[in-house]
Amino acid sequence: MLKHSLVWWLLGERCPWSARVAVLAGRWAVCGRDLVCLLSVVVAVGCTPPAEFGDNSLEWYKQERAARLEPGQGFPEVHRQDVSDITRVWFGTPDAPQLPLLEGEDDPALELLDMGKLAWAAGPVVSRNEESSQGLYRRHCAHCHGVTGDGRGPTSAFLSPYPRDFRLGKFKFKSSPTGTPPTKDDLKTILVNGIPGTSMPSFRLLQDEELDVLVDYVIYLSQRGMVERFLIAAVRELDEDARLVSLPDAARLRDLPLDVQLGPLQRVAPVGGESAADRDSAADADSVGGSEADAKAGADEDDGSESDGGSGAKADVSYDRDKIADDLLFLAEEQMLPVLEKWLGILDFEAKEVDVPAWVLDSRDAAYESQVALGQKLYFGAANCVQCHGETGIGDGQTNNYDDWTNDWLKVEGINPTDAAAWAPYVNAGAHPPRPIMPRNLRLGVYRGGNRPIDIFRRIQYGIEGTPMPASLTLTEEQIWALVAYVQQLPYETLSRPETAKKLENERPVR
Amino acid sequence: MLTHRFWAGLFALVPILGIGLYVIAVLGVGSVGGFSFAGLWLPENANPYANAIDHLFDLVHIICGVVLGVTTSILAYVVWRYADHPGRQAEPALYITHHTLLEWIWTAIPAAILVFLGFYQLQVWADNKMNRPMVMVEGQERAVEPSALVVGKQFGWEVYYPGPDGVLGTLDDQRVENELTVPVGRPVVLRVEAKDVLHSFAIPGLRVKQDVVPGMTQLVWFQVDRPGTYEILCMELCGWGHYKMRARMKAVAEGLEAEVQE
Repeated sequence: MLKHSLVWWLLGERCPWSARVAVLAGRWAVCGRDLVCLLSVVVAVGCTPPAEFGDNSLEWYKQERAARLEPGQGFPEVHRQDVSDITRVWFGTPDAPQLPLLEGEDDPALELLDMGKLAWAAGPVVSRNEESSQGLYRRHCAHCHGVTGDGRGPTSAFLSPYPRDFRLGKFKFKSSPTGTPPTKDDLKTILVNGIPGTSMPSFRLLQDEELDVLVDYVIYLSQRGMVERFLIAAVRELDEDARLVSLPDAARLRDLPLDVQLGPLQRVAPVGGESAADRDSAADADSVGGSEADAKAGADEDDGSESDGGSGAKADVSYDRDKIADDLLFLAEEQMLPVLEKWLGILDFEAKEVDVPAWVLDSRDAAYESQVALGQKLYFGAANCVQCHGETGIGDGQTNNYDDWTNDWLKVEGINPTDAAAWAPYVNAGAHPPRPIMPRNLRLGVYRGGNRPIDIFRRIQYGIEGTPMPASLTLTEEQIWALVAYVQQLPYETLSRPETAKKLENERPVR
Repeated sequence: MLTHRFWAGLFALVPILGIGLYVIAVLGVGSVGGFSFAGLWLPENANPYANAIDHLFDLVHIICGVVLGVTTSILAYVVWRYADHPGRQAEPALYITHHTLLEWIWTAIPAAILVFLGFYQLQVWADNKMNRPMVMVEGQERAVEPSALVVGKQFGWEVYYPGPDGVLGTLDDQRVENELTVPVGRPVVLRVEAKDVLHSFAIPGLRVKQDVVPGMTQLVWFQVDRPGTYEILCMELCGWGHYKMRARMKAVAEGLEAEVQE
């Protein structure tokens, strides 16, 4: 019995039913011996179906509750299918990433993200050459951040803090102001240095190019997640019986010909990746003409393909090609373009040049003492750091806040975080159990966003997005530097290091 | 015949494969089905302090190799010689409770080898773990001070340099994640610590390996004679991400300060 259930566990969700049946049949018919049984499991698990992005079930549940539907009742399944189908045709699959391009090769999205890099990061892990491997994201990131970038990888539940969910499009440690996405350099810095004090390790040993590839893929996942969230929110705004795309009854967008699914979008030939899915979509893309021609269905050559699709090669439904194209264009403009435009901003963004004062880490400098004293005054006064970081700076001030990734559902729905019964349904829908966000203990010298003075300066200046750490709107740059000096010397005060003080009294030579 | 001597054949594989694979790894030539045998053995040593370690390592391997070869060959022979087979004259089995001479022999020989190794390696241990390298400072001989602090954590290595004031544990320390830079051609002393659990700081290319225990400070020292990049590994299973706990050590001939600053 135990062995039996082990087989099931090994197979999990990963294998088609035919393979499971084959394994079980094999077990009863042939497997007298454990070795044969084990081999059949290995063979069966090898037939993993292509990876798919997971639906944002938490957002669905949240919107269903917000729509005040009857308990136990959700949106009709057809809406979930629509959102899933649209994000799939816009962003592809984890094995074959795509971008929603309205302007083909000239689309600004291609300035931000490189299709070749996405193809390198995507897909299962196979060696690319002696130096590097294909599928970098799944090799290095997915076990914590999840294939979908939802921060729900297999190891995520053990970690504190939880791994980042990219789908909200919020990133903490960056050189850009609150509300704007991080630059590629910011994301790369995090990859190189890791995030001290968390489970995010340093990936310094990866090649420079591999880091660029992962940065692009994280942005891609973030865009996909944001667009998906917007589409789900759009479902809630729909009239009763309406759908995101004009299709009859239970017809699915994914069953229609690819050029209908794409509507106003265009595809460019993918670069790099050699998976079967890539080749398929490349072949499909070849058959797709210009988007506008498609939408109008005016040109003669398109009539052929239209009637081909209209006659229902894949699905036996009648649909209005122009209406679908209009719907998709509307959705792309309303839900996708804002996300893209937000990210495109980082192409032109240049962090404001800041001169790091010479005295900030130099206790021998004449200005140092007075600046630290000023910083201390600000800490307890105008800057009001004391409220959260506490009087001694050990982070024991206000500790009942939650970060935006939790508040996104916790606060919106007014749930009491200490009432496990209230948040349990959200956890079932895909949230992590809520944990309060702790203000940093400033006496440890561990700074998540980096320990250079400029890093601390940015944290104070722009705040930390997604957390209760606010941007300092009223402080001047000189005041912020004084705060940096004060904060950075806290770990070296005798109070912070009792073990140092003890050693001085009764010092032993270190061998 | 074959079935009766099957087990003897399996036993014979132990000395053949055991010693054969060892020889293949040391020679590091050839390949099977795309799998190259090069690089199976330790990388070439670049640390003059560790030449004696390599010598000890080889000596222990040769002693163990001989013992393995002799004992497992005898075992295989006995299994072959006394296997049941058609036409065998069955002799009654003997039950032997003890054999004093034999026991003396198999106790005395390993004991002698161990005692020999124990004394033979004393100086190497002292040079690598106890007697810190000395330098002449203003006409006085002094122990080399640690040039960096390396802190192992789940899962990576933090490297702290003393900064402009030359003292570790002060305000101007500089931290670099997973990269250590050291000078070539002179003794380097490092302070190694652990933040959370047991780790082991190891540089295979320099034969350096030191367990690091949370709450304890250890010193390791070495000298790099070849500029280049070396691998730093954690060699104590420290958690689920142990395999990720790798870092890079750069040995540079000059411009150390600039490298560290960067």
